Amino acid sequence: MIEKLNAHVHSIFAPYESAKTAKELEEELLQNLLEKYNDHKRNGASEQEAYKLTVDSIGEVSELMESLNLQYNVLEQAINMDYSRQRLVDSDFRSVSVHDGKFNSCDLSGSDFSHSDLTNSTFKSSNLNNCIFENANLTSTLFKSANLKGVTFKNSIYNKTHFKGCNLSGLIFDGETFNQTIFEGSSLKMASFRDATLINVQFRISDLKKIDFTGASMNKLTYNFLYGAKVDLSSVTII
Amino acid sequence: MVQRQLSSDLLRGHVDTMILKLLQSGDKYGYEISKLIYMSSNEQYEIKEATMYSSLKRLEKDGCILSYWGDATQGGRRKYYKITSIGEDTYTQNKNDWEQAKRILERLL
Repeated sequence: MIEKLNAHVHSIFAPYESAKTAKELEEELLQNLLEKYNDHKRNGASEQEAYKLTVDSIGEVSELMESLNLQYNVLEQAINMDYSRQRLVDSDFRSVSVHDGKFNSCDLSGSDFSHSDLTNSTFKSSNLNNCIFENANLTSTLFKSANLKGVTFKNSIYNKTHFKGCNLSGLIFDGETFNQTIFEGSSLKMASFRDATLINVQFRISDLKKIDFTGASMNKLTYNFLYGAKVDLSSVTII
Repeated sequence: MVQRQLSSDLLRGHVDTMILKLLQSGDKYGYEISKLIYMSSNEQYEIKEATMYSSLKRLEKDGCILSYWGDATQGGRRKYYKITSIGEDTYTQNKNDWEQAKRILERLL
């Protein structure tokens, strides 16, 4: 039953997992509920009854989440930050909002940018080795001469994202949606865009050898760019 | 059941003040607060965790209370809440407001 209680509480917080405040509240709530459950049992309730009483005492989950959002706003004050020329290895940038942030010439290897909002930020000549960009908002973000080796991109927003002079070889962008994204002077050798959607994406003077577009959908403009570069587009759908 | 829901809505507006009052007698953690509210109300008001936490987070944001993690007990650690001087003032203010509202309502209802 305690396992079940644990799983129940965890499922409430799962969508907010990346926020530190949510993690702490989860720990706190679970501790309260465990003590409450044990008290109910001590007072003679069966395991089932004790579980039901305990779970019912949580109340409106939406109310709980609202109290988290209050604290989210505090995080979002980190706008316009300049992190340039710093050594920020393995940093935790999860869920932060850094509009117009500058991450130039810094070592960010192993850092986690999941659920972050990096709109208009720049990463020039930075080391992003093994960084994670899951559910990140990369609108108008500029990656210039950055080392992107081993980077994980997943469920992110690439509206007008600009990759200039970057090594993207072997990276996996499967199932992602690109809108007005620009790949310029970059190596995309063996990169994978399986089942991805590409609208008005530009590939300028980039190395596209063995790039994989199996099952991808793209509009005519994107298709024409790639067609000229002799990329295998046999299983691409034009939308 | 409808009766209970109504009274809990009426009470809910005063949860912040209830918590501030409880913290005046010393720092407390979440479950302790909800247990004390239940017992002090003669087992007539059981506060929901969500209601309590939205109040605690609000009070903390307004500087009425502080929180800190205690040492681990029974496998888990507890987060304690402490009232600040701002919290003391807020309590006095709220309590006065309530006394005044009570006098008005008693005449009107």
